[in-house]
Amino acid sequence: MAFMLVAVMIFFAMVALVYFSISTANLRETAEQLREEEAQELASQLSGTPELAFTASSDCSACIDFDKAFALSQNPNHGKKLWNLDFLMIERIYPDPVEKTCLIPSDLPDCKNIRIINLPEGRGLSGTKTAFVSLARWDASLAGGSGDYKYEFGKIHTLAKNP
Amino acid sequence: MKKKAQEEMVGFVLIMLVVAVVFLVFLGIYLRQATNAEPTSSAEISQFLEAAFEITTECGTPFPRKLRDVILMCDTGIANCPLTGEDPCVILKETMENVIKSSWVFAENSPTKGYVLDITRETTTGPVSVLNEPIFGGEISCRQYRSAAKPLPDGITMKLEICL
Repeated sequence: MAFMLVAVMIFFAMVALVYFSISTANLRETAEQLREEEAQELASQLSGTPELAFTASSDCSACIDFDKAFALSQNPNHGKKLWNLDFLMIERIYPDPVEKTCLIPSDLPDCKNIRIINLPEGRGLSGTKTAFVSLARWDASLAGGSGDYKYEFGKIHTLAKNP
Repeated sequence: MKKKAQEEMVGFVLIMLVVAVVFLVFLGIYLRQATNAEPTSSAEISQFLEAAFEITTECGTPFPRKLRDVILMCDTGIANCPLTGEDPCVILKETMENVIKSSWVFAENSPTKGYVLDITRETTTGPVSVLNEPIFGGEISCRQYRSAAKPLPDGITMKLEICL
């Protein structure tokens, strides 16, 4: 009788173990999907704000205006007032950029990063969310010299303020 | 007394056998689900494709075409980009390979192992690859994938699978 009770207890314990291991695996998948959706929402929100949205042409409604972003980066306090973030950076991925931060106008257009909000001292990059974005900038060499907008590929990096 | 103890032992062994069989059944169901799993839809890859369509390519410089236009040019069999003369399909392949490799690191000890990019057009006989065959990179035979597909005009779809 005692043996039977022990065996039944072991049986239910094993069933519970298998059940929890399967459901935990599903939780991880759900968490990953939620994280991705959050990043996508964030990119949509930021690229839709008038400060960053590309509005000069109807050619790309979801593009970020690279020239506007650079202008914003020249005044670090402006970005902090507009968005409640500890870090905001736009990174150029394609065409291959030169490995340097866009600090002065002569760095453009080949530089890699525009830092609109710099990371506060003592804060690490852990928890940064990223999303792929299209970047639009004016290129005077296009359209036979009269200039046109060039669309490049990049990422937006954001880090929320600590609660 | 001896007989009762023996009966208890037999009962115990039987119960352990039942437990083992049930455990194996659960394990089998779980493993079958894992191996038959469809690629997980990825919002990140969907965003990637949407942004990639807007890229200004080298096709037609100084009046360059966006990648979405180059895909349509490749599909309709246009052999040369205007003014520059390159093959739109070659530019499409090179641009996508470069953008994908710039966006993810593909290596054995990296979270992303490889990718498969396929651009297809829907026909009455089924999907036909615009580039004759998909574009591969890295390790592509793995158990878990993330993927997304984005539609274009004329029944064209671009699908990217990232091997994890």
